[in-house]
Amino acid sequence: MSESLALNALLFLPVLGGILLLLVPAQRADVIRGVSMLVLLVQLALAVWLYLRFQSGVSGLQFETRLPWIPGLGVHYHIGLDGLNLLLVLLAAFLGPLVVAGAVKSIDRDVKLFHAMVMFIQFTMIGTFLAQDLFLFYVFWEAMLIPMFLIIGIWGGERRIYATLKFFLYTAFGSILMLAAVIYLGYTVLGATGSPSFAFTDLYALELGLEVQIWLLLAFALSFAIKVPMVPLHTWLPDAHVQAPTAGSVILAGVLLKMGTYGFVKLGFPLFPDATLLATPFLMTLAVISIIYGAGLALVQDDIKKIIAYSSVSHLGYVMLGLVSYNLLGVQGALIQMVSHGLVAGGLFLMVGMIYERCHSRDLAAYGGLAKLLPVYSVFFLILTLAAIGLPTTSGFTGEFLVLLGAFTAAWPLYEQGVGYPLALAALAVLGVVLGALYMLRLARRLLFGAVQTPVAVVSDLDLREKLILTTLVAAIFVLGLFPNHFLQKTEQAARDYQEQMLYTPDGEARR
Amino acid sequence: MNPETIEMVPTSAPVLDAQALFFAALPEHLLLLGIVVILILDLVSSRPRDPFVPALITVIAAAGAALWLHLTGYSGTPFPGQMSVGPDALAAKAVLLGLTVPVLLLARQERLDSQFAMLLLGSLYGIGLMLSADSLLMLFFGIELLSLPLYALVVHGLRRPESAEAAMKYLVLGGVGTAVLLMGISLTLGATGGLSLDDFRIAMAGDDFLSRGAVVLVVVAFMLKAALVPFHAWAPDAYEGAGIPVTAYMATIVKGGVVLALVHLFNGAEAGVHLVGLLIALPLLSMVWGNLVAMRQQGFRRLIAYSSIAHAGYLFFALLGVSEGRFEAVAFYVLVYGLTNLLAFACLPAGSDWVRDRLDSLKGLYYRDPLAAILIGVAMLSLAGIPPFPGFIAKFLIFQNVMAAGFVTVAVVGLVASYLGIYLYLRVIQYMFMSQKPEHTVPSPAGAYATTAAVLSMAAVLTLAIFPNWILAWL
Amino acid sequence: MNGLLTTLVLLPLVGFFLNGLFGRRLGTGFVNVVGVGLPLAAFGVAVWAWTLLEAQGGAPIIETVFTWAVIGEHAFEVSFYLDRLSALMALVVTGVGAAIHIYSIGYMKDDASYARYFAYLNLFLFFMLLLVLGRSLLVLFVGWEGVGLASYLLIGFWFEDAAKARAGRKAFLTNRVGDAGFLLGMFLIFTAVGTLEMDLINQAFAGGLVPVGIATAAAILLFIGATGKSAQIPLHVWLPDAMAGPTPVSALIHAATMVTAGVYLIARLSGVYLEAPAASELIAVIGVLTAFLAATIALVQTDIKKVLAYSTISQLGFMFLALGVGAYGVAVFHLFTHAFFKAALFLGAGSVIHALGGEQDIRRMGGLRRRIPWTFVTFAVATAAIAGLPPLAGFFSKDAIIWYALVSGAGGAVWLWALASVTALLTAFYMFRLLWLVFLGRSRMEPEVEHHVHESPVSMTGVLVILAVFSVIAGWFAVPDYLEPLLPLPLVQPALEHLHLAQVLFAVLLAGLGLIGAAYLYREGGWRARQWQTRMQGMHQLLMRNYFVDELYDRALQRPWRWISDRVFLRLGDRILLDGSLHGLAALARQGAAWLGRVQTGSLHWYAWLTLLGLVGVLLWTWRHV
Repeated sequence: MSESLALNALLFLPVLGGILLLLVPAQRADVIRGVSMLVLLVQLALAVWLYLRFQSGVSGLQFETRLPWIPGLGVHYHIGLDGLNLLLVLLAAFLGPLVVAGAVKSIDRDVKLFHAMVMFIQFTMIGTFLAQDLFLFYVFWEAMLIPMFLIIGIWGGERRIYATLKFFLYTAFGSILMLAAVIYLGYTVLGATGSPSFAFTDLYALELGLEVQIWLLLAFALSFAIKVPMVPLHTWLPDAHVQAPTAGSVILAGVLLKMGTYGFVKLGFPLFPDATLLATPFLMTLAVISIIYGAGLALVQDDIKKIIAYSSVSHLGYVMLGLVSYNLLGVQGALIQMVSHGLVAGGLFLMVGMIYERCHSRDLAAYGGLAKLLPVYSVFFLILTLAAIGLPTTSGFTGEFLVLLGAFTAAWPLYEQGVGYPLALAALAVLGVVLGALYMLRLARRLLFGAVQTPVAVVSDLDLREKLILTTLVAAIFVLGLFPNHFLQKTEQAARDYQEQMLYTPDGEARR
Repeated sequence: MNPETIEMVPTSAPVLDAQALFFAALPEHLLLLGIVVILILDLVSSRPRDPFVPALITVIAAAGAALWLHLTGYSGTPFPGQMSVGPDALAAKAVLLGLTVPVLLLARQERLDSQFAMLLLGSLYGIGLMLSADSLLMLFFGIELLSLPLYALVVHGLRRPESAEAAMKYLVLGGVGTAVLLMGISLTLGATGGLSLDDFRIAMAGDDFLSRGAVVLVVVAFMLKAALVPFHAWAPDAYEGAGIPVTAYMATIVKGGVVLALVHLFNGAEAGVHLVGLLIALPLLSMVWGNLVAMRQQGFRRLIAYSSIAHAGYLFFALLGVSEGRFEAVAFYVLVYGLTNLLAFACLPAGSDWVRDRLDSLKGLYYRDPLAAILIGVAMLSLAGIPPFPGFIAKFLIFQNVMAAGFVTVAVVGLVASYLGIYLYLRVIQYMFMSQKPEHTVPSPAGAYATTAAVLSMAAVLTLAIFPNWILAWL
Repeated sequence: MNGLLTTLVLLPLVGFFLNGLFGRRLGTGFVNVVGVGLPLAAFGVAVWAWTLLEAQGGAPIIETVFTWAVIGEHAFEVSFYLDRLSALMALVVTGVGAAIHIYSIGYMKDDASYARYFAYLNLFLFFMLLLVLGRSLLVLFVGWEGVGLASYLLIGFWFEDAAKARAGRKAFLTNRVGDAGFLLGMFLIFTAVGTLEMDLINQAFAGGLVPVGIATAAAILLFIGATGKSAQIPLHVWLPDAMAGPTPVSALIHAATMVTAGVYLIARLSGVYLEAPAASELIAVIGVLTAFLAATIALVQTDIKKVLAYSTISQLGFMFLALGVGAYGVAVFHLFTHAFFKAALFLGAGSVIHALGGEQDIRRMGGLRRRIPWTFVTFAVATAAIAGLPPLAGFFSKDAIIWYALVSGAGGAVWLWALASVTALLTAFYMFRLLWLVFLGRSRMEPEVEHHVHESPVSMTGVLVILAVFSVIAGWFAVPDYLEPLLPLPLVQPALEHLHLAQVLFAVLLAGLGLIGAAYLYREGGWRARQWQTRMQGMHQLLMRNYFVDELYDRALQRPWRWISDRVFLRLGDRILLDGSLHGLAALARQGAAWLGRVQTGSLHWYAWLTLLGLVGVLLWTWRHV
């Protein structure tokens, strides 16, 4: 009971924070930062507590709350934790304080509005993860656009307007079709059960014809794939990332993109399993294309932020690959990879921000030999780079290894039945690790090694605040790399259930 | 056809039920009373008096009356065959009259004289008649009574030469509308031999030359009043010509009244096969047209005009849908749409009418008047149908209604058309938040009355966002 | 005694953290104590563990540390596995490792990043032990990647020089290619037998449960990994560049230990390879080819470290040849001996470079015999050892390899033997060439270099002496017999049994020939050599440039990939197709808006017409086919 209260508190704390901020005079930046920090730390504490209280090996929701919201439409305020959203909520809550801490220097104007927006986006993102009612999910999903639109548009770089409009309109187009699907599902339930409902559980129970499934999957998948983003729907990402302020990029890469993958694993796939299975070759191919395409693009960028942005495309390709393997290893790997990417990409963006604050340039060519000039900075950057490459003992390895192993083990029996493409794709994905190393090491070498060179003369190494931020991140990365088991145990049951949903009909016969 | 069949009034001479006469038209009576009071006050006093208080009291009283009657579940028939009120009508009146309160506040902020007040109350009276009309004739009276004061209101105070021209256009095209409606009515008479709404619905069901013509003409007349493409041409100019309160009034209450009247006219009847095409094509056209053209507007009123054309499209979509839930959807939409529009108008920065209208004067508004900027932002997002703002739920209801009627593809296309609208609202937000404060800063924020209007609307909007059910359950 | 292996592995890690975090502040003394003391301690622990192992007659010691992940019915455990093979490796790694740490004190003492150096070196030791002692392929892979990282960091140790940093990157990437193969092999084995514990894998394969096809595929994939780490064709290209690192690093990582990981891997999984004859054959072929080609390249190199680098590649080739013909024990034997004499050679080279203040070009050396006697003696001994002069270490191990290449029942063949023998001859030749050019003959040094020449400190020469001693005696430990219970030697084709003595004599003869040949060509200022060089210009170029393999890879792989990424993905895909179409749509909308907006002329007539038009249209539409 108290847990579900805590969960609601966790969700609504940012709202409270926002209201508190309204009371603080706009010029008291320090107070504003303090309040936001405090609120988000409390939220983190709640998240950790709930994570610890979360029962492993239990199917379904925990710490559930279900209240009627719009009974006329059968809409409920319905939230809860399960293995799929547990880690993501934890991740979001974990990155929140880091975002605020990271913005201390970089955000110097309209501090109040900025932190209000951080609260807003924190609320909507966590809401999206927690929602167990499609209508509610959609509301959070869509509302998230507003704070991000402002964060990029107000505190962004030179071409921020273009970037933020592109981001908003790109994403909104996906959502509008998803809205159509949502409405359709809504009255399908009405037709099936006689009472309107958007509860996920009721929607899972629907038995839709294959054709309907295909159309609805298309609508959902478009929206989710844009958010992930999967090639070829990714072109909003580099612009958004490059133009966004550091905090924006961190939120974007850290949590926002996971809304897409989460959408797939929570809704897109299990709602329409037959259509998904039908589309699996296509999805796998797209995932692998994303891996390779992203890696390729990351190699030929000279803007540091762009490199990391494209690397996100590549890394989330692994997540998708794991999800469509319908294999416990793969799915578990995907869940870990989501968190890992959140930590690594978030960290990298923070570090780019730190160097940008010092030198006001993101042009790779302008840098060199930072290892000499900023040893501490370079150590952290190198660790994050290696985590991005997926070097063992880092979280990146845990994710990639399990995903690839899962994809492979899932593909092998098919291969023995004479279906070769999954194996080929898995093998290609493995080659992706080489390409990953290629662009990340290029970045590291150009930035850290070689002759010392920076756009501005004297540059100071990291200060305490920055060290603290990065130490927390790196610690998390290694924990996830060395001792993933604790997390995996929490998510295993959910992964199993997802696998069940995908591969077997409710009455237990195999789908393919 | 032979004249015997034509009967203007039912043969059984109705017994006028005094009680019904009093209660059923109570809101209208109150409006009339208000007009009289203001008139008298105006006559007895030498210098022009501020009619704000009596007008406000009138409107609130009328709205209250409608609400009260609705809550008591009243329904009555003062003039059988001509006029009757049911819960829906009362709810609709309550909504529209309620929306008038901010309009009055806006007007007071500008310049409110007795003519304005009387004209306004007059046209509200017309709306009342429309909504409780039982026969086409009554409906016709209602519409005319609604429109005629409007022509005057547009020119009222002659702010700019454009105003006169605008009023002229509005008058002429409105006249066309009247003519079309009359023709439609007469055709209905010809087709069914009656003028009651039931007869109209018979015509709707009918498939012969006359009925088709009749129905279409009537519907077109409503489209003209609600400014659907291609009958929209008057709207942008009229909206631009009129003063801001009048524009707000036209964009929200008049449009809402017209659509609600049409819903009342359809009253549960499904659109016949030959009407469906029309009800698909023209609303879609309006959505695309309105949303696209609005993108390029530089004046706030023109922008609202085009966006209102698009929104008229969404509203008319509801007529495609299944009859149950139709009224709720439309009424809710009208309420939300009206509130958000009024919210936006109420927050426009102070200054000369012309300056206020230019979108450029919104540039960097956030840095001059954060509250106003945020409120306008909320209004815009709600108009764009972005959750968590109520515009989303309104849109949801309409399209759900359409889909439930089996027009899945149409609904999808409609949604995509509505997507085109997002940009124009974002553009306003971009102006306010993302462009630097222009040198010539116009500091003075909107005055007390406008602020009150804004706060009222905002409160309502928030309530609708968080507890939409309160309204939906009530409607 | 439990926790012993864990301690053994963790000791260097502690060193890494201490030196990495505090080294710079606490100064050289601290760094030495930690950086050298802990590896020595590790060596002690290793010896102790080995005695325990022997005490229980070689029965493997298994030590589970923790469970990395449990997924479904699969548990991925981190556990250590000590049997004679891993014990031997651990001894070599810690022993030679410790020695080289000591040597480094002298060699690196003037370096600005002294602490960082030792931190990296300790880190390497940690991962290497992880690699050697890991029970499951997963743990081995962690070590495998880890040593790669350490090597990357140490090659690029002097990172201000972009070329050195690039060399590190090249090493990492080349290894990554191998690792991809490794991963796939690991996955395949996992799917086949459902576990990654190597002892269980061996059992499963030995049980013949796994079809030959899978065994072969897995074997080849893992071998690809091995070619990366152990610099075999086609992934050998990184090792020569790796010489950019400090010389002790080259000795430890790129000669004695890390590069032999591939050999260890295959010996460790001999169970798999015994089931995959085809793969073994491939290994033998690759091995012997690598040995031969690398040797030919070594003939002409003029950088003292490059010569040794190619010789390392060549010697690794020998080891793989042995693996390929099923003589796993012999391969490990050569690994064992090679560790000592190659370390001695590299450290000797280091001592030379140290003495000459950084000079590495053997054309500007010569006559150092008297100037740095200790270095000379030890270097000479090691050279004799690698050349295979009896009774030195190299003689026994290499001879055994050549012998099995001929007679092994598991793929021995005459041509393998022939090529191996030729390589042996070449080896002797280029090593004596090196010895001659560096230490004998007249000095070709620049005067001021010559002026500063000095023998290295005891910390260095002492290590040299130790290693030289082992280069002599290492061959007397009959490693193959010691490992026999683990890695049984292949059957000898009975028909060839009697040739053993002849083969031995022949091998000695070859070594001798090499020596004489080198002496003949390079005495009297080496005019004969120059003659030959001018006579075979083309050949010389080909060898100098490593058969142009680097250029080939650059043109065939790197540039095309860059080109595709830039032209196809970025310009065509992202900019033109995707964003292009988006902007197109946006422009379309703007156009449409403008066009529709033009309707709003403001003229009342036109509005009226429009309205009527609409009206008529609607009516007609309604009245169509009444």
